[in-house]
Amino acid sequence: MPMSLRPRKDQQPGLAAYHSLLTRHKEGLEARLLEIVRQLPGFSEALGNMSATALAERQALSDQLLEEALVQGEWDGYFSDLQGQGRMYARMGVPFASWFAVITAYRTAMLPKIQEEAADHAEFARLVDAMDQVNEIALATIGTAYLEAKEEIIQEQQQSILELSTPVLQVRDGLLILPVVGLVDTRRARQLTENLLTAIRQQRAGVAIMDVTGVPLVDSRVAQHFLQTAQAARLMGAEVLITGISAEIAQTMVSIGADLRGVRTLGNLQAGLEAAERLLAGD
Amino acid sequence: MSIPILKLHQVLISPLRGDLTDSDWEAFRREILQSVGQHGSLGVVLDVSTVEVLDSYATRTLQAIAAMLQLRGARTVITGIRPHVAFTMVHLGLDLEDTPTAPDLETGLDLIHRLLREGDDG
Repeated sequence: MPMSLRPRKDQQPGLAAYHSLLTRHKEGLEARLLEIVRQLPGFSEALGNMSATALAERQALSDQLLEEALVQGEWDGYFSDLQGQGRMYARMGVPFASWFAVITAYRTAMLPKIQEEAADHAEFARLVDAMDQVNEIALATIGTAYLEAKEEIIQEQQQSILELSTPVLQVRDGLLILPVVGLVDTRRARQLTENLLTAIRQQRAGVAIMDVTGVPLVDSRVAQHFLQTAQAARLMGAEVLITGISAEIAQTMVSIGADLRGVRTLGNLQAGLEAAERLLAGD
Repeated sequence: MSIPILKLHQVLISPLRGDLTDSDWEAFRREILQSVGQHGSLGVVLDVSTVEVLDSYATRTLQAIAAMLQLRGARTVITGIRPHVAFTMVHLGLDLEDTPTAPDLETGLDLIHRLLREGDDG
């Protein structure tokens, strides 16, 4: 648990007093919260999937960890439980705003109780302060867990997009096709190169066709990269045919003075396949 | 550090290591040129599949060896250039010109036999 969130020693008695108040009003509070939570977007679906027993067990564990934190000052268990919950609900798609609604509901329910039971102003302030602190710790922890979970999801998606967008297909023994579709930036070009060269080595390909029909235009660096890939493949003993070069790409390649030695280009994939068959048959 | 030169019928095979110094390359060049004459070999396969870096000196030497062997009547095939080695070479503007290459030793041997057959026909 980060130091910035951890309560000071002298705040602990206030937190313990708040906990005793919570425990006394537990029944009514839980019922009320559950009712509110069920109406929040995302939560109802998430909770609907849980059985009554699982829900009760979940609640008992939370209660126990909360007691350890507030009464005994052992925050670590409570903290990691909150983190875990945050991550889980983030992955279930519960919007983060719903947590604010939960905390507000908590506050609205607890404030009158504090008012009723506080003997004087000092105790009132102490209890409200303790409540705020508990709520802040919960929100901060769950918020961080949300961010982390979302970042993980984004990274996973980026990775799968990257992999999806650069498949290397084996058409038959010794012949690979790399269909390139969509915009190609330097990062993707590097990925394409790596995939193609690795596949050539693994499949011991003699010919690889790089079909760029689906690429509308490229900048000069990417065009250069394509040609370098073809030359690198040739060094590895494979012939690379580039097919489907659009008018725009052709202009880019010529105007950057690209070195086209050792690279065969053909108008479309069909011509490329025929040429590849001839090359392989020559073997 | 001597590099093994293995004889397989009409072909010599040498697996090149990644840690060769310039003088190792020199020594190897002399040796392979001699061996070709000794065995009357018609082809040489230089396998670089364990080599992590081919710098300009190594590339030039490989090319020179191929040209010299050609003068002595033997064809050369270079095999097993790794993907990242190949790409680095292209980036550095290095090229093996007309020296044939193959992905691995096995296809390299097939290729050299084909080159030798074609040579017979022509």
